[in-house]
Order: sequence, then structure tokens, then C-alpha cells
Amino acid sequence: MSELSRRGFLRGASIGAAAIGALSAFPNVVRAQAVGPLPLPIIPAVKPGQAAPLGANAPLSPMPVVVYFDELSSGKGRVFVGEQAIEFDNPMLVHSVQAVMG
Amino acid sequence: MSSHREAPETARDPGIDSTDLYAFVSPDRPDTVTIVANYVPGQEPAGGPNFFPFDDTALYEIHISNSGSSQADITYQFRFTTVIGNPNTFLYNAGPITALTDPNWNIRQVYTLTRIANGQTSVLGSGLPCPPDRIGPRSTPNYEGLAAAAVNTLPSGEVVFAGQRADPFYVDLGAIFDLGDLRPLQNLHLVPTPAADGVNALAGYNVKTIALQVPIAMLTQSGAKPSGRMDKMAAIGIWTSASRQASTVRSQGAGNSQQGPFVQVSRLGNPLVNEVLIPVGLKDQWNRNPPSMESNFLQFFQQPMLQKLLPVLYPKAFPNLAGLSNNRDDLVAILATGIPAGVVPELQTFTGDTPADMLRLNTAIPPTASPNAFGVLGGDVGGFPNGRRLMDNVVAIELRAIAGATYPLVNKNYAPDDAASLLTDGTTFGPAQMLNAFPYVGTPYEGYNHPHHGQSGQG
Repeated sequence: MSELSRRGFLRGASIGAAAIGALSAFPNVVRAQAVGPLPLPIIPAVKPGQAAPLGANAPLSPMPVVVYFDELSSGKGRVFVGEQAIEFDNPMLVHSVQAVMG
Repeated sequence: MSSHREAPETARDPGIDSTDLYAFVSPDRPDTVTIVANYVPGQEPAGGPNFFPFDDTALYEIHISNSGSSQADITYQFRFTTVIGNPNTFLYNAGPITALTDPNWNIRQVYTLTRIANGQTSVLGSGLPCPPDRIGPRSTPNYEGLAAAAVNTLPSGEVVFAGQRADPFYVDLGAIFDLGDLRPLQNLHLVPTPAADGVNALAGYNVKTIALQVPIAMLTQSGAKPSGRMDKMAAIGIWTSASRQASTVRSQGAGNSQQGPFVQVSRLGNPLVNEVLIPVGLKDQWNRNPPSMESNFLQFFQQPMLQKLLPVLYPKAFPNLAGLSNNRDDLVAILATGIPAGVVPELQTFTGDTPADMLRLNTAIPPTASPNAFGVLGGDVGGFPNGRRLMDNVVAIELRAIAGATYPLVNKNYAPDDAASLLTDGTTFGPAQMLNAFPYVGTPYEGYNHPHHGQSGQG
């Protein structure tokens, strides 16, 4: 997993975090395009920024989830859940977010 | 301050503010090393109703490098949890707290200690109790007993404590950041006033201390005590960090939630590096970088701005320093690579060529019976920059080093100005700031009755 950069949090060109709430709001989109399986909830950190191994059939997380686009137009971003970040490349999700933004 | 509120973001976020790191061969157990990592500065002892907890949402870490790579070979992680017995009261305690399990104590903290080494993660202890903050004779009548009960000896061999202590750092902050004033020498300042004694700005304030005592054999790459002080594996590098999760979301109903991996937001190796060497525009970035990326900041070790300011602030006192334009390889050695063998008699702290701000400790040099607060500069190789003891006068040591007192180590043709060996802010270590046994950091000041702004440790 690549190191997170703070640039995405500070630069005005990036889109701020979109708190979508429980994953159930966009289950089909995220599941279809996710890079890997959904993470297990409350996984102890192995070391800072490093994700613990993911289970192949991990259930939907009951915890809040944050989806962050480093650059909305590229469709690339990260899902933050628990102590993990999962990178994705999902142009379809961009369209869904733009629809919410109006 | 060593690293108290030293960067814009840490000044706004005391929960993750690494204030000081100490590391020394334990004076009463010389087969062990004690590491003291302090956080959460400026604790006014009268701190009710919430006092000063460790931050439950932060990750606190102590890192040790023992392989010469400047990467962490061993990491100790601390995660805290606040436990509230009765959320329907505003009280921290409903009566005297006479034990760590006293039902009168309403707001307490426990922590989990995890060790990461050799690719393995081990939980060394969980639910380990912190002592309460020191309140007063009615709430914490036997405070020393409570603190002693919070010293945990773990099956793995470490001894650990996490809780409030008297801040052991001493510095005349009010003068130093008044255009580099040093009260004992201020009659020589560009804006002169009569000379005066130093005033310790931290006298009477508390801090949160994480203290860890580890057998030396558990810290070295070989897994054994080094053969002697010139053993290449005798020197280890240590630094602390604090991290926050990548995202915080605040909502009116559910409160705050954090998601994502931890991102480092604070680090500390040697005292005063981010404080006085790193420019303000880079301090936050410095805090986010690991020590192994120190090459990005090496220019500030090689050409410290304070070196250029001293001849301006104290006219005519530093003629030789004013003419010194070479890179300060001595400061790089002291702070970023360690001192190689053959430079200082009976001392080496070299951990490799990669510059990295780590507090380097030669674990084979035993504690001395008569420590000198000026450490290696005072002829005491048991002191800073060989590790750092609570009583080491790091402010004076680093002022003198930057003023040129250590440059002859790399250039014997350079003669330091006489003033270089006289620099001091005039503060001294107070005996009440230290205990004779673990965790060594002194009993915290009491909320009900405490001093401030004294001229020495206890004010």
C-alpha cells in the first residue's frame, strides 16, 4: 500500500472527504470496482499506515467509512475504514458522487 | 523548549506533541536502558475537570534502530483508552482515590503496549493502568503510592509506566524567544539590560510521561550485551513519534470518528532540532518525515541559522564564529550520524552514514557516579549527546556547540570564541524533578498547591 500523502488534504484542487456513512449506501458500486475485498472491522495496526491482511469474504463494515478522492476527475482515491486505506480507481463512483453534488 | 509546541501543528494539538526524549543506561540497573518519552506539554497542575489525558485517538510510539540502517528495528506502540465509570457526573473523582481500582475514581485511562520486531507483533500488556493526575490532599492523598502502583513489570522483561510527571525539562523560554536573550549575558545583548539569573519557564508544570525500561540485550541487534563501548553494535538510535488517523469526521449527532491508517504527525530524536534548526515553513513537514529522510533537511544541520544570529545578537562576542562559513560537520556528527570512534576519547555513538535525527546511546558505557550536566562537553561521556539524562543541560550544550565549541572536533585549526564556552540560559535542574528509581521523572506538581516560574526546577 502506498504511503498516504497530505497533499490531497491541503491543495484546493482536490475534493474534500465525502462521508458516505455505512457502506450499504453504495454497496454495488464499491464492491464491483474495489481493488480488493472489503476489510475486516477493527483490525489492530501492524505498524503505522500498514494494513493487516484482508479476509477473502470479509463482511460489510459496521463502522463509518470515508471515501476520499485525491483528484476527482481521475477517479482515483481511497476508502478509509477502521485503520485501513484501500486504493481504488473507479470512474463510475465519480459519476455517482457528482450526481449527489448536483 | 526541547520540543514543546515547536511546530505550528503540534502547537495546536498537544495530545500528539512529543516534548522530550531521554535515554540512558539505568543508574540503578545498569544492565537495562530507560527510555522516557514525554508528551502533552504545559500541564497546569490545577487542570480539572478533565485534567490532561493521553489522547485515545493517537498512536504513540518509541522506535529503536540497532542495525545501522536508520530504520526502526524495534517499535513499541502505546494505545490509550479512557474509561468513564459514570458519565452522568462532571466529577473526575467522587471521593479520595486510594488505589488504581478505587471506585471513587471516575475517569481513568488504561493502555495497550505492543512490540514490533523481526516482523512480529506482540501485545506485551493490555489494560495497563495509568495513575490519576495529581489533584490534591483530598482527592489523591497518597500520590506516590498511586504512581508506584502504576509501574508495570511485564512478563516479557520490560518495565513500563505511563502517567503524569513533573516536566523535567528546564529552559528560560521567556528570554530565549525574546530575540535570543540569555539573561546571564543580556548585558552583552544587542538590546542590553542588566545581567540576571535564568527563569525556568517550565517550573511548576507537568507533562505526560511514557517510561520504558528494557534489558540491553533486548535492544541490540545481536540479542546480547555489547562486548564493550567500541563494539560497533553498542550504539543504538532512538526516536519517538505520534500519529493520527488519516481522516476525522465530526458530526453533531454521533460525535467524532476517525478512519484510515495512522499518519505520523510528530517525531523527536535529539532535543531542540525542530525547535531551532528547522525553519518554521518546514517544521510540520519535518514532523511527518521519518528520520531516514533527514537528508532532505541536512542543510539546516550544516548551516544553522542560530550560528549566524549569535554574532549579530551579541556584537563583538563571536568574531571567530562570524567568520565560520564551512558546513558544520561536527553538528551533523553529533545530531545526525553519531560520533565515530577516535574523535572523542572513550566514546563512539556512530550508527551509520545515513543522516537521521536519532538520540544515540552507547549501551556499553555505564552510568557515572558523578554526572556532569554538560555531558560530553563537560568531560562526561555518560551524558548528552551520548543518550540524554534528565539532568543534562541540553540548552547550554547545544548553544555552545552551535556557537562553535565543538567545531574543533572536525577542524583543529579553528579556535572557538571564548564566549562559546560561556553560553547558558542560566537555568538549572531541580533535584525534585528526578527520582532515584524508575520511572525517574519526578512526582508531578499538585493541583491544589503548586509553584510557577521559579528560577530552578521547583520554582
